[in-house]
Amino acid sequence: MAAVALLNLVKRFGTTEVVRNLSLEIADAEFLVLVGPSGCGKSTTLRMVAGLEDASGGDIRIGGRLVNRVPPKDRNIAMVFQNYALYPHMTVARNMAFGLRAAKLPAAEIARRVADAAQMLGLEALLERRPGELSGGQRQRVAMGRAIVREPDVFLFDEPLSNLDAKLRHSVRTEIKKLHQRVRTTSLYVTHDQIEAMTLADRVVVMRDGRIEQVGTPLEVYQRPANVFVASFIGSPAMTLLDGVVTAERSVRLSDQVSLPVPERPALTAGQRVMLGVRPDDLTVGEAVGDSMVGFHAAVTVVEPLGPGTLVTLDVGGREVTATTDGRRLPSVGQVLPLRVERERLHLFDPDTGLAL
Amino acid sequence: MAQSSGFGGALYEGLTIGQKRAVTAWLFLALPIVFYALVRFYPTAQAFWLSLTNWNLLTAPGFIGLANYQRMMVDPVFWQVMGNTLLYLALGLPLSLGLAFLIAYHLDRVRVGHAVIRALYFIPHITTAVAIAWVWRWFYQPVPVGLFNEVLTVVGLPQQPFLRSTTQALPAVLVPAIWSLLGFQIVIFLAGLRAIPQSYYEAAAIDGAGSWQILREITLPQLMPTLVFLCVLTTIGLLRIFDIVYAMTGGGRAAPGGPLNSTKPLVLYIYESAFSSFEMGFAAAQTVVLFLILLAITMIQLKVSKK
Ligand SMILES: Nc1ncnc2c1ncn2[C@@H]1O[C@H](COP(=O)(O)OP(=O)(O)OP(=O)(O)O)[C@@H](O)[C@H]1O
Ligand SMILES: [Mg+2]
Repeated sequence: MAAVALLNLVKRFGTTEVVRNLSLEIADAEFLVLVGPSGCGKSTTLRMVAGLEDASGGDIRIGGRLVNRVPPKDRNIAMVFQNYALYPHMTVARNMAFGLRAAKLPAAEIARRVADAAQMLGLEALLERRPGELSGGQRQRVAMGRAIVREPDVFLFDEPLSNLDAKLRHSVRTEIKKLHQRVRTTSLYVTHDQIEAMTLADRVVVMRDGRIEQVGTPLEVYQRPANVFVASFIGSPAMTLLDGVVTAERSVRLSDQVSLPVPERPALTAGQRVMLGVRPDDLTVGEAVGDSMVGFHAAVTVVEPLGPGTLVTLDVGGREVTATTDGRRLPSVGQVLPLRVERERLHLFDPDTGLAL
Repeated sequence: MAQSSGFGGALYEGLTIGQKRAVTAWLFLALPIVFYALVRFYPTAQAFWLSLTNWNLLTAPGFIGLANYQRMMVDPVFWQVMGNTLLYLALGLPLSLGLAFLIAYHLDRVRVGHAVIRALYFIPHITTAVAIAWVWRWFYQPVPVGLFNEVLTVVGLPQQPFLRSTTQALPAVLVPAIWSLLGFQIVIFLAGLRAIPQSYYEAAAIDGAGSWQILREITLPQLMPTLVFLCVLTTIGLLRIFDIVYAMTGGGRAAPGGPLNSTKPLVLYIYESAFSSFEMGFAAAQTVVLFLILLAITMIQLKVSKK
């Protein structure tokens, strides 16, 4: 096991810079997830750590050793690919043993490791099958098995669940988490799915355009997004963002009818334009009670029952906000509802820089 | 007219979607099927019939049973050309495929000028056999003219007879034959190599596999369908070898296939039986044998590839 450190990592394809000065430390045994929209450079970063792409600049260290010039096979890493890259003409057992044969391990040792991994992943019955005879989830587990048997310092995952259907994705996600709790191998995991990122990660790295937008625990990036991008990217349904103006009474005026008192921020001055963010989960239907809550009224435009709760879209001065209510009684369209939110749960952003205030 | 089309229309309307699709498909296929039946299957069937006759182009074919086949069995020239043909195959198949794979494998790694080099290798495939044959004939000439003997004498080795020797002539003919096969094989191999997903190689690189393990465990198995395809085509091509032998050994006073039938392949013997001796029945019997050999080998190769 080993820590991984990236320092001012740069990747250029021709003249386009797809990874820009990325610095990141992954602690030993940590599970770090890189998340971001498509094309933001996650895979490229991962492939540089793997040694499949040369870094155009910066340092990559694994276990303290500078590995920029070290070929993939000498980095002691294992990678799970999006398409699994299982060899179709080999049995599951031979697929899993491929790297061990390459390392010229004794046959008995290979057999033992394959058996152990197969047992851990529940693949014992499938060892003599070929990948073509497996379901998507089983293939995924074989790909994991091939990584585990190598006993590497670092696991690299590139969207390993994106070829699975939603239900399977959930159960395999749980498997991966359990597996990591067991083997505690340093893991770098790439996904564009924020739920995967939240559920798996010790720490989440939110990327955009080859840059890191925020690094933090899942709850940190959810509860205290550093900027508008992270705020809207993390969380589903997405945070509602509304333009407003700070009034003399430390409120933000959203429309002629609605002004909300907002949390204390030293930077706020009267007349300042701000962007107010509120998560649908935090904005619920009901009258505000106590000092810590703020409340207002709005008319319902759309009702979306989800089962456990219901999403309600309401009209606030011509703009839409999303709120949640419990699933038992559905509001009707046009109805004016009272809404409430803990004041501390309101997010304020600078509309020009996008940064949290 | 309107009524009959109305009736036909009603019939067509009554079909299920699947049946309608089938009708359309067969309509499109009808013309090629008729064409194939006339141009391919009819002559093939005719050859089977002719092989049982004594047709000499002048008189009407008379049925003589298996006499042509019996004659073949005791004809020493037939056995010699059969041996030559199998030798062309036994040497030409592994050599051409091996060379083509070697070149394609390395060409696949070349990034600069890939298209140009590939085009260069393809040239032999589009050059006529006669042109190739005459250039190589010139290479094989004795000293003041021939390139190879020139080189041999310069480095102090004795001259070789090449096409004039009964032992060297067949390999000497085979070399340009292989060379002209390479272009096509290389291009097909390259396409096969390109079709192997890059992620297999990336996974192997991370797993620390050496180039030998990658070749044996990934590239070759993945290339199997390509290899079988080329095996079948090359086998058929070599068993039917004709034009290059004819052009390299014939001309002037020399009978093609010489010296002393040492380079003569089966197809050339068939050609001579038919158009020099006018023994159409005997020629047809030989084509039937060739046909059966081709069929058997192709079946075997396809069966092997299924595994
Ligand atoms: N070999 C390449 N040559 C040129 N540009 C490339 C190459 N590989 C990737 N890129 C570009 O680099 C950028 C980042 O690609 P990357 O694959 O890292 O994105 P990603 O974050 O993994 O996206 P996704 O979620 O879609 O997989 C993209 O804009 C892509 O077009
Ligand atoms: Mg990617």
